Amino acid sequence: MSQDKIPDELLFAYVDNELDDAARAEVEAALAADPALARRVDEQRALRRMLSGAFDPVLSEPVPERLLAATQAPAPKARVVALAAAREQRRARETPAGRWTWQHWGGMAACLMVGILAGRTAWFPGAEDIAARDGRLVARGPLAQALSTQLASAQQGNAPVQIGLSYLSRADEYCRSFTLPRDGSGGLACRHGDDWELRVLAQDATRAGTDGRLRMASSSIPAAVLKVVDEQISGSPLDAENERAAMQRGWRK
Amino acid sequence: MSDSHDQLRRDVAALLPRLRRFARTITRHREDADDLAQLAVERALLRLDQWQPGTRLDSWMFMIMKNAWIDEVRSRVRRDAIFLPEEAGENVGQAAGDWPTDRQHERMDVQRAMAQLNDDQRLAVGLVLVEGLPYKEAAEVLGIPIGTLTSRLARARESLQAILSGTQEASA
Repeated sequence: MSQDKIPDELLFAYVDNELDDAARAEVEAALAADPALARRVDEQRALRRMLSGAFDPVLSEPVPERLLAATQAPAPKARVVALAAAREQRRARETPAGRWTWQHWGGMAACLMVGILAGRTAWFPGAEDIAARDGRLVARGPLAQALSTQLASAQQGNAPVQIGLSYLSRADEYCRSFTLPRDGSGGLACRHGDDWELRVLAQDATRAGTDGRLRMASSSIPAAVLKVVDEQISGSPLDAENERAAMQRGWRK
Repeated sequence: MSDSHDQLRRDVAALLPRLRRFARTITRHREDADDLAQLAVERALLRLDQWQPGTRLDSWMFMIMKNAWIDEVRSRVRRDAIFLPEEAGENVGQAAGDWPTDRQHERMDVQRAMAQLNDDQRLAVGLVLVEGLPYKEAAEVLGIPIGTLTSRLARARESLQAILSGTQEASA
């Protein structure tokens, strides 16, 4: 049998042990008659062996403690209920905010460098976005504008500021997470008086110092931000309707 | 948590070495791979009720991991890891010190070649050629028809073969 009667995918399926008896017999007959075909099979077997050789040693490495701990973590019952409710709410309203899965970010801190209100803003290029006022960092300019007027449910994907979650904190302030995709940074601002106070600024360390061509997905809220959100949120994030209502009240309760 | 969930947690824990291996086929850096595995475990534990008894737990976990990769993790991996020397990347396993040098080199060549595939191809290779899932199972994990899976696999094999035969010639 000539090689062109055995298409590559049939040959691969043979190597992958996916053929029934009849098809396997057909391929084997062809292999016996065609050394070139037999060499292709050998090459594919060698490729599988190389892949095993490259990745199987992972199986004998000790599993890191943090992974074992993750499987044993106590079930976060109250939180699951809250999440389920939030999910239902989001599903019901079909808001774009449904993509946020900030609850699951605990393990990602290793990726991040954070500057929390310590004035560590050298990497934070948006000087037009931040001002120090009475010992606090507050948003100004385009960032303040976006925090006050931009709805997560209706924002342009290419807007320079991307609003993430909006929620009411335990201190009864409205807080909003945001990302600045151009430099891979993000943060959390809470409405205090007439200002948006910056509570967390964080940058994905992998993006620090890059030239801005690598953009964060707009959904990538830095883990440090999510951790604070998690700590201070009261109830669920605002859905699209409540986000709009809060904006119309000037972010006052 | 009910007893059945306790058992399920133990089953998930028993899968950890394979979850780590699969993660390593998707993302090369050891820490990124473990972040991905951890995120998948955390997500899985939040929805153990959705696990269907009688279906494969490994496939279910791989699906959660694939989704976590696509939604969340891939935008934040250490992109420079590909260019790091061996000792800074994930390459050195516990036993690597005892390995013959040529095998270590082969291991690095394969991982570099994998890094040149696109996500879809890497996922297909990881599930079928490394994890050994049957086509049908792998296609379900990826949410694609079997024909799409096999054509991704075919392209990935051609690329890997081309890259690896190139590196072998170059080092010969």
